[in-house]
Amino acid sequence: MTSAWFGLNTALSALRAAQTQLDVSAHNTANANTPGYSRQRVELIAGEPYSYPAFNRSGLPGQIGTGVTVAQIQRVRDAFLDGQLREQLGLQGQWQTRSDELAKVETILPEPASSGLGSALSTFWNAWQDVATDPSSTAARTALLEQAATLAQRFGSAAGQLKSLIGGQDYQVGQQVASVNDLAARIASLNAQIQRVAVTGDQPNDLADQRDQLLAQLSTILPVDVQPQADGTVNVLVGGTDLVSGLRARAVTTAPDAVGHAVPTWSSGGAVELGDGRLAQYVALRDTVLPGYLAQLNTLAKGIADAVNGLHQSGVDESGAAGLAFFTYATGDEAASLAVNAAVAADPTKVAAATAANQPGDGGQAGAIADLRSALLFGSGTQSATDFYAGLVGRVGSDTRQAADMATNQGLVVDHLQQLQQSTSGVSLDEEAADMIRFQHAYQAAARVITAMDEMLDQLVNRTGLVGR
Amino acid sequence: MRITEGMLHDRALRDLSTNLDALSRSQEQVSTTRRLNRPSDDPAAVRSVVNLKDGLAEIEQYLRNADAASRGLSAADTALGSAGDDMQRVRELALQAANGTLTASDRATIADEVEQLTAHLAQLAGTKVGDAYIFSGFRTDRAPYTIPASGSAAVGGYQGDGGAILGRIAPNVTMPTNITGDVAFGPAFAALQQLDTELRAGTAPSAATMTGLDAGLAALVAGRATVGARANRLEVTQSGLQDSEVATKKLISDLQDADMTEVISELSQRQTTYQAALQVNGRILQQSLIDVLR
Repeated sequence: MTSAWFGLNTALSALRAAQTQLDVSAHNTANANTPGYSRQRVELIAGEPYSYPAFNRSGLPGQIGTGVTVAQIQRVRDAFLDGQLREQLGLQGQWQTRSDELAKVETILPEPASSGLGSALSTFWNAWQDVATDPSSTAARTALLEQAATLAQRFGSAAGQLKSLIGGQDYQVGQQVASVNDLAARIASLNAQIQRVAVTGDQPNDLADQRDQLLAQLSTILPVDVQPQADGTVNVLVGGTDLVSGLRARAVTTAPDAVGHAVPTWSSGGAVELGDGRLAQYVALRDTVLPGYLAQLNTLAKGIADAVNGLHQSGVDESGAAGLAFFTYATGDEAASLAVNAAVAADPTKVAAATAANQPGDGGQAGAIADLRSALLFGSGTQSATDFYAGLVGRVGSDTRQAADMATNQGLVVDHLQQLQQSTSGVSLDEEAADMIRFQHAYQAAARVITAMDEMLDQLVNRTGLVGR
Repeated sequence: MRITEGMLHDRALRDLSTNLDALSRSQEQVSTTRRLNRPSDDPAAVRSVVNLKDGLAEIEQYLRNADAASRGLSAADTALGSAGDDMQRVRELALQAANGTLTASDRATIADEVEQLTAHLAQLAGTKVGDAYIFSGFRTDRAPYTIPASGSAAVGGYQGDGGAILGRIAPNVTMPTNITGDVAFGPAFAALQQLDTELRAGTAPSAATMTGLDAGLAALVAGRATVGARANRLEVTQSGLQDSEVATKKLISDLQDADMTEVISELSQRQTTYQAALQVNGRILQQSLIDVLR
């Protein structure tokens, strides 16, 4: 037989359990909008029944329950989904970065607007025709020099902007490396806190949420391999090297390459394997994509300058002297350094429009230069200057388009996974409200049990054995 | 699937942002009237437009070149026309001077007029368009003949050269836009000087002189015919260029310009969609069980 006070303890455990559940519900509600928060659930189990089978058992008809126990408070989270999401976040980071950066290149080549290099090129060839038509006109020669200066300036500004964009990518590489170090240090420190909690057997739910959030951030920069350990910590591997191992984070530094650009390197030596992600994309844009565009601009500038110079130097200027080089440039940096030869720019009579001396009406050489418009100077004799330029514009356009499309698609994949994650781990206020009522009722019912017990004991203690008094 | 408020909220935000993005693209097309605003809008079309725009600029330049050539040819035509009239008058005077009853002083009077006509002819040979002498070949800085001093019909030797000025009137097509003074005016001046010498000597024009005058007139007429033929060719070319200009502009417009009817109806459709999305989301996001519980 159990004691008369036995039921009070059972009801008390119910009161405590309901209160804990209500507390957790309050915590869920409070964190409904916290990024990365996973809803938590109280795991209840029935109390250990009384009594155990033994030789001197109590003689009860069977086991009697002793109430409810709060086993643990757990977060609802799908670790597989986390892994999938991390993978897709890396790809999204990569395409989004590429799309954002290439959109900047498009503003450098503002076609088909008339402020682009293409229209400057057309105007330049036309100006040569005007000189060919009326070679003795100073106005036509001056206009030609102005158009040539405009063309050189458009080349220079496009190349300058591309270069500064390349510098921007290099800066971003440094920034991303700093973020990696920061995130790795915070993950290691969370590992330490989690380990301390896990040792006591408790669930470090909120700390784990924070760590998952940091891992997600990290995976947009670098592809990471997350390996959970028995002690609750996670090891984070990048390309097989441990970035975070238990409580330690390995630092990533940068080493300058041949042109002084930062290369992400382990502090312990060796280049970091970048895989897919924002960091890899900044490096690719800086080292391959943007320099590729710049090289094409240089080819175009050099091709035009060389062809014009060749013909100009075999022509004759107004004074009867052989033509000078029309354009000047620095080899290897043609587009940025392209300029009209200062001697010609200062003196319109130095434009070598004629084929021979003493022929002021002869614009034959200017005409020959104007005809370079359709000369196949590029692509091994298959493309004119405009074809080549249009090809560059088309390539930038299709690269940008592809990156934007991929970023959109990848965004949808990530959104879908995040929705799935939300579906599992997100806080539903409706659910919490309904639970609140459930827990409140459970609390009320337990309290009512105590009241019933109280009345029962009152009956026994205060009103029993008073017969005839 | 378990749905939470956060999911509804995220989805609403994402859908609204997709709608707004589409709306902003429509709006851009309406306000710029262009379908292509950056290379990525349609890389292949932008590539074609870059090429076509250069083609258009080239055609427009050929039209300008043709205008300039046409100005030169029309000035040459006028000059050669009045030079022909002058030579007709000279022939009449020569025939008059051949009359045996005329005295030396009569012939001197005729010589005066011949000299004046020669001077006028020399002026016509020195016709300029802008700063350039059009009958001097490449030596556009020099008059082809000097104007004779009074009492003389000597215009001196031809000062120009044989340079043919080529106008660029179509891709890879050039056309000479000048005729040189020695060809058009040379024979006339030679005959005129001969006539003047004979008249000043008081003699009747010789048969050789009469033949020379005819040859001089024929050279002027032939020159004018050449100019006329070139002007015709130029006109044909110009109308061809104008046709290509219109065709190229249409091609560019087809690729680059937005179909306004379509874009505006798309814009209003997207506006409606956006408003509907706003209203629906506004209503759904407001509701929760909390509202119903007491």
